[in-house]
Amino acid sequence: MRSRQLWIAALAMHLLLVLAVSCWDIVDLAARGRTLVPSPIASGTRNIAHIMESMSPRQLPRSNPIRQTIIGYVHVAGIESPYSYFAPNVPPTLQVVFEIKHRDHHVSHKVPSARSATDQLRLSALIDRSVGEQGLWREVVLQMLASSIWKDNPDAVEIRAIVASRTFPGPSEFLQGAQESYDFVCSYNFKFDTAQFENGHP
Amino acid sequence: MTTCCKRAAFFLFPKRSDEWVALLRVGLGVEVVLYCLSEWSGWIDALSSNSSALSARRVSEALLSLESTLIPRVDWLLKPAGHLGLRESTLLWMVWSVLVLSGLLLTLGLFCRPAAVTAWLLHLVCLKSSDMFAYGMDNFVSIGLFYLMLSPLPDSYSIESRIWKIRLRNARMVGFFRRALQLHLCIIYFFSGLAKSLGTDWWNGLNIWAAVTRPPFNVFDPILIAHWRFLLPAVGITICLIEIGYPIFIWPRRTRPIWLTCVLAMHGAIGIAMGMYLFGLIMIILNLAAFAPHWIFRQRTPSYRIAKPEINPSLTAFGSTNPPVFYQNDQVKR
Repeated sequence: MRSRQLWIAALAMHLLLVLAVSCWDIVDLAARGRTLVPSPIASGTRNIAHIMESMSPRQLPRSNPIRQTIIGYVHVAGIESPYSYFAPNVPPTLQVVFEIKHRDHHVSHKVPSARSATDQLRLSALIDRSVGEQGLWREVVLQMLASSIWKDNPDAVEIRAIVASRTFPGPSEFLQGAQESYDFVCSYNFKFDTAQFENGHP
Repeated sequence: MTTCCKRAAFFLFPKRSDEWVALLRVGLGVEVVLYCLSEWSGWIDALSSNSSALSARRVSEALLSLESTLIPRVDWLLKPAGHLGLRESTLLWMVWSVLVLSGLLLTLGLFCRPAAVTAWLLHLVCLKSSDMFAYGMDNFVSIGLFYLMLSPLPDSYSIESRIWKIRLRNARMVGFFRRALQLHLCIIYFFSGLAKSLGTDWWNGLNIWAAVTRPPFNVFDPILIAHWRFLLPAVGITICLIEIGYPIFIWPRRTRPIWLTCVLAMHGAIGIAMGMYLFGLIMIILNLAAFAPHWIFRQRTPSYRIAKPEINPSLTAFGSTNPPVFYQNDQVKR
């Protein structure tokens, strides 16, 4: 009987963590104004998001064993991610193109390529997650992708990563012949002779 | 309070056959093997440290270290392997081979427990070290392997239990882990549906259009889909309703087959129409294992439509009120 009580307690904790991650995701989406939630309610969810954030184990110092255990557990159990795939809306498709300046001054263009369909899914997920918003994470990912392009082009002296957002027409416009369009998002220059990130200007 | 606890215990520890464990084991075994085969070409690139500061593995592991030092990663295997003089690529191929072997053993039902633990750990290690490239399928395989590893193994359908005549030891623990998976799936679908229904474009079908026309999910010709555009709002709304209604309609006897069929059809369609075969497969496996293993095993023996309700003798606290009766296939009747 006692072992059953322990199992129930463990399951309650497990599901509580799943609920916490999922609730945080919904509240965060609403607080950022990305949902249908009216703005007065959205501003209220900002307070809830603030309270939830203050209760997160991530607020504890990195060396804290409680933080280490809870975050370690959610990763080990596979419950660290929320389940809002393609929600509340499908994000815009981002396209990365690399402009390669070779040692002999000629310029070529390449897109990050994948060897298999699965790799293509993974690459697309990475670009969608990381390249959409400005910050260090975007720079790191673009530099990583640029370094893989540089490996295939060892004579490259400079690689420029250009990120564009692809807008596909709606079904009716598409049938009327409308084509997809691209909007510039940002570009970054990488010089590989010194293997250094030079500058970024979104 | 006591009654509440007893009801909870009654609900969480139903006596169940281990069909669902067998289904989950075989399904995850196949999924792990297919995962390894699909990653074959990029296995070393994804997990090698690449001798540069910006390899995907190094970046992922650095981020993991900021989260928690307790999260398993490839680096944990590489350090002892380095002492043994093994090269990184050799070790990574060994990990791949052992993962395939674990998947095959799970499918066959041999050495089920060690195979489940090994598959869970190695899959987790590889997933976390290439976390940057992870997508939904990886998380669901990880969740499935976590439950499988903890569930009572070997199940009675495995070769192992037939050879060594191992019998199901604890039917209530089998039921407990099935409940855990069922409740987890209910949370997953409810929040997934809620998040979708808070977006404007799920109601007018534009999100369906956006999803199936964006690379790399644009498997079908957009012209074909555009000709059927009048169906898109209905499809979008149906997906929201199926997901939000899942925790309600998956339990009653009358609505379960309908809801489960809708969910399976939805995942089948995602797999085919968006090229996410492994994602579709893992979701179908988890749903069938949790709610309808008898659809696969077709064991329509009296144990399925059990005539006698399983009433725990300790539940006399219910007194004169009729306790809920849980049937073998989780259908509730009052």
